[in-house]
Amino acid sequence: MPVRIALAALVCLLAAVARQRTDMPAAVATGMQFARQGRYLDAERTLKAYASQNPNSPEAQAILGQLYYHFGYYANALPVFQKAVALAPGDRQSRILGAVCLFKTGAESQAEAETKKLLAEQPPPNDVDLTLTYAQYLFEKRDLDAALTQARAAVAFAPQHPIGYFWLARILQAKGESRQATEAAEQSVKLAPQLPYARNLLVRLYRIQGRLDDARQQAQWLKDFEAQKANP
Amino acid sequence: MIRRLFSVCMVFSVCCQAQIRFEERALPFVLKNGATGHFYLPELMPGGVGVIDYDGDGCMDVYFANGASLPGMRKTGPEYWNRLYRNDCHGNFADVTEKAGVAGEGYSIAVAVADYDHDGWPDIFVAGLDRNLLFHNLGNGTFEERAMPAGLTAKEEKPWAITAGFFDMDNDGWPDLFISNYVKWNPNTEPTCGSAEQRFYCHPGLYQGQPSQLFRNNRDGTFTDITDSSGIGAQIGKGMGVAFADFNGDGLTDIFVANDSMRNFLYENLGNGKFREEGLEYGASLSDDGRAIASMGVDFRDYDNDGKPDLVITGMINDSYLLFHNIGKPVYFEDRTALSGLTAATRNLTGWGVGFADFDNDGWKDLFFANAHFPQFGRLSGGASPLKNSVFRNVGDGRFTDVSGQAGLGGPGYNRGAAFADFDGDGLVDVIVSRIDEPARFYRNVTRGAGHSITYREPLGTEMRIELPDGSKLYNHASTSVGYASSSEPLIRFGLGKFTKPTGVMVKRPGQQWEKR
Repeated sequence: MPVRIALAALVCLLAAVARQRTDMPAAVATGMQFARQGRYLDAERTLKAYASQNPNSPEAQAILGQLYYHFGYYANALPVFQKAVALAPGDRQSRILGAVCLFKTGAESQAEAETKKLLAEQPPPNDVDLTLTYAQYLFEKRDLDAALTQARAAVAFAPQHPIGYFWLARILQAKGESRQATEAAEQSVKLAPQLPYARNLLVRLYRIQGRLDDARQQAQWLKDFEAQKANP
Repeated sequence: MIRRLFSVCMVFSVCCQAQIRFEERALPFVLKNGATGHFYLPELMPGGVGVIDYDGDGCMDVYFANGASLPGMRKTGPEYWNRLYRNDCHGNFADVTEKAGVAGEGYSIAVAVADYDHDGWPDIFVAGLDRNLLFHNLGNGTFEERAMPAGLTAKEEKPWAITAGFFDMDNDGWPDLFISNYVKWNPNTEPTCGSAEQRFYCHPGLYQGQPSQLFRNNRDGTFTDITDSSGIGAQIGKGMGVAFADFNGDGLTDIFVANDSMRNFLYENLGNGKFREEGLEYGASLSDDGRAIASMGVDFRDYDNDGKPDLVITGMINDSYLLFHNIGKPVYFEDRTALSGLTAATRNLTGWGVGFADFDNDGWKDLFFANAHFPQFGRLSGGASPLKNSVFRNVGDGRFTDVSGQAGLGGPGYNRGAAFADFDGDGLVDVIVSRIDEPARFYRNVTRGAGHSITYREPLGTEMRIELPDGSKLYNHASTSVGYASSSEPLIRFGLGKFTKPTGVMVKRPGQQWEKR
């Protein structure tokens, strides 16, 4: 069924590929082009073929893994990252994304162990996805203090990342610290006004504080954002 | 006609940690979606399950909506008939479709059940792709289709309906009808998605949404379309499941519509036939991180016995199903999915039918999910598309624990609608689930050590509160619309745990105050 493409994820994927190599092979460039056009199956076919043709190339595996990862197919991504790491044990990016995949596919204890190992390494990975996925895991386990520590760490090493502030707000709100949660959510919106994540939280926080006009304003923004989906 | 006004059932010895367990049986009904490899979007959508005591023997029978051939949308053979099965009161079902005259026509998807004309016999409304049907129960084991004389046929282009539900919008004791409509669809303009080698069903984002519809019961066997005057028509959605409850305690029943891949709608009933959509303001539209999920099924009941109805919504893989806890004014709904344990537990599922029901009669409503990925989607997500159903036990502190592994739910399938009732009269809630291209599943609840239970028959919208000898209070309300395109037993049910009867019973009928029952 439908492949949902998050533009932000795609940009991230392309950036990741560009980081890895500037002399991008033709197959990879084609695969990325398909991905950019939303042609996931064609992208997968192309990058899968490239990975098969280059079975000893950790980069070829990692690029395929990142395609799966950024389209949300974590169960497919996981073994590919594991293969990339087997080929290149120093490929920390594949280890990081593999750890996130472990969380997403429900292998939580394995995920937590690998994450702790990664977070203890020097220099620290300072990866937003990993840190916030771990924060989310801790949040779901109701270990709010530990989750808060991770969210604060993410904000510290990536102060321009809106999702770090969103998680900070969400955890603070769950801890009943509405004022600090509101500040964090507002910072998230300030960093990425085009994203909906923290606005929904702000509706609730403002209502709790009796700031009904502010709540209505955020709700209206979300309504306008959502209205586009009803009328393609 | 036998009417069990209330019943108390004692079930085995009492324990509070009973393992929820079902005995799975295949029913003869096979849900057909008319798929022929063209990947028409409607193929994904059948079909609902409706619980109805059509013959008044006090035992719950079952009606299934069924698809049709595509693109013609005709029931070209008996394999596409909607089917009614009579229950012998022991959970054995016999096909009475032909005799009852309820095979229907067109591409049917949803079932809603209510006695819309107050003649003492429950009727069946079938919502679908190309037409809606109203089967009026004649009280002699047969039905007569009356959608047109009842004013329920479309004047212009028929919107594609996914779910319908009866509720009492104006507290007059007569069931009104809400129809949740999906998208504009035409087989001739169906877009092509996937790749040259592998077609897929297209994302709903490629289709134009539709407003839902509201019909007021005229108390004379007909309905009036008040979609526009009520405010319902102002919202363009991609409606799937619908559920009803008075979320704000103002004595008026409100409506929740699960929309596919766009924000959900919560229609606050303002009285005087008016509704206002307040989902975003009241926190029930989006997940906590501001995302609209591919909402499909919904149930609207109080899972934590605080007197305020909560919401559970099924979605697609990576969405996680949603659990909105109603905390009252001024916020109302708070996303408790993560803290309930459901985020991780449902992240890799795609769900259709869903219901809150107390399967072990411990006083806490548990959760049942009818699951299935979209065809071919399993490969993309690293697994298979058919999924097993799941049941989560409500442990009473806001958390739900997945107990599916020991629940006897059988193997995977393309599960769809799920309806809930005690089909064998043992005091335990059973489940019937429709499955595409496979026999429907009857999950007979055989939980050992379950508590006692009690049921009450009250008009739609009635709220009840019972008090147990230990002082604890339990809440529930009368609503049949459940999950995805389905309709459950018309009873208010409580699990009593170790107690055999409540010490107090309070009832709040539509438009009235709380009173002793």
